[in-house]
Amino acid sequence: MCKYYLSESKIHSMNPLAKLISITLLIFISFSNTTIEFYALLTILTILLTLLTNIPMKTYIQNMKIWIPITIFLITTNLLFQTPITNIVRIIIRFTLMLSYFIMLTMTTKRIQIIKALDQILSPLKKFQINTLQLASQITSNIYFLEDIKEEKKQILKSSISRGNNQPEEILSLSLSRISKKTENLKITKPNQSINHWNWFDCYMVIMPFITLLILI
Amino acid sequence: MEIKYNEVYYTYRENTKLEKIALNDVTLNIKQGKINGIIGTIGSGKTTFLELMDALLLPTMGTIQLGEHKIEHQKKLKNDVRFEIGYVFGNPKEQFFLPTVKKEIAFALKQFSYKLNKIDKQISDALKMVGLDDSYLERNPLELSNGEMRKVAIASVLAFNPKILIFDEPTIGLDSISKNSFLKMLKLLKNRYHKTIIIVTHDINMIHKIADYLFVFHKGKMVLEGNKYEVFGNEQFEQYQLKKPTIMEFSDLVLKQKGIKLGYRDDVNDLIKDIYRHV
Repeated sequence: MCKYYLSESKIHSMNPLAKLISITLLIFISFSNTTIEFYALLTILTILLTLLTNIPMKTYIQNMKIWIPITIFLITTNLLFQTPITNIVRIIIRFTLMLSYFIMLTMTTKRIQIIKALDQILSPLKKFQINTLQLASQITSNIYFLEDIKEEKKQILKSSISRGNNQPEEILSLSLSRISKKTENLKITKPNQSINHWNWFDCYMVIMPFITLLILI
Repeated sequence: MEIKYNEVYYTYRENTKLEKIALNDVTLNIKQGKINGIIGTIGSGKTTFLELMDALLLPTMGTIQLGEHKIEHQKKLKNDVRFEIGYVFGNPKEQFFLPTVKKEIAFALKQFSYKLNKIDKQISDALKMVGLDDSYLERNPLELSNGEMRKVAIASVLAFNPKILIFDEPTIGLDSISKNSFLKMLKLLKNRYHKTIIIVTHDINMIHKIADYLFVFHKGKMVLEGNKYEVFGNEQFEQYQLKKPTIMEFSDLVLKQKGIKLGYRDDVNDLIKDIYRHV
């Protein structure tokens, strides 16, 4: 989704497993069909969380660029099927919440940490002789797909500009082929980096979505 | 074509926490038709200096004069700025993006509107110049060995015959024989085709052999310039955490221990003759 943003905060130092669980729970809750008041509460909560990350709001908004084309797509398709406007607003709010959670996750955790957390979640599959580490790294490379393409595009543009072409035609397919070439040669090794231990903040973050649900009921 | 830097500044990630000043008030003239060497420690702004020359980055302050063109902050440039400049990247893996060596070399030729019937000859000439044969044409550049990759990268730039050649760390991954042939090729390009050559390197012995003029960079500033005797003989030289070439170190050592003064020589054979004369 986006690049890791170097900073120090409570959310940066969270256990990645706890972060993944709490964010997936938040996404599930935001998708449960509920009232407008609940969405207001959720948006306040997400704003509070973003303030906790110590990342300036400006960079968040810069990374939300994908929001514009997708909302236009959502609005037009829904108007075609003649859904009521309140429902469309609900869909858009859900989508923005989900996007902001994903951006928060990718900006505050390193790629290796996400791989390790996913590996922990998928570990029961080891009984069926599935290489969970490989699976986890594939899933994370899908999460960071857009960012990878951007990086490749930058490099290819630089190289082609230096040889006299400002807009190479097949830049997207070229960068895709380069990414696939890189992942072919990738040797997956066990990440040795130490992971922060669970503490009270992690527990709170995992329980928090349930608390918000309880408030609703 | 003259290249002039006039009070050039460059900062990475401006106005953020991770701001870093890479170039700090650099003013210099590149010598035309000569081999210009640029040396300095890691992170002293050498590669940024080169990328500014090829207009891949635009300076945050100051101007760069490239012949008729002027490179400034936030100025839109025409494509023919880079017509006369061939830039060989520090890492050849960054430079390649096409599936075969032939397409890679032909890419620049097509941009600069060479005639189609000439392209094939131009490509095989360029490959011959770096010491590879036509059997490489259909191979994937990313599957070659490191040294071959570097040779192909140099060939892809030589093919469109630019007046100015820029090399960023050209000799990494080359064995001593291909290193020598690379140096021969540089001399040929300088003497016969009168090209301006700019080399950034950490290999002091190599640069001592071929460079006509040297620039020393330290912490984003150009601190020393002159021909190699002026630069390496300068008293301030060692405070920039750089080593002298081994030939010079040797004659310094002889002067210190035996009190015999040997002249500075480019070639080892000349030095041995000098020693023989003294004994």
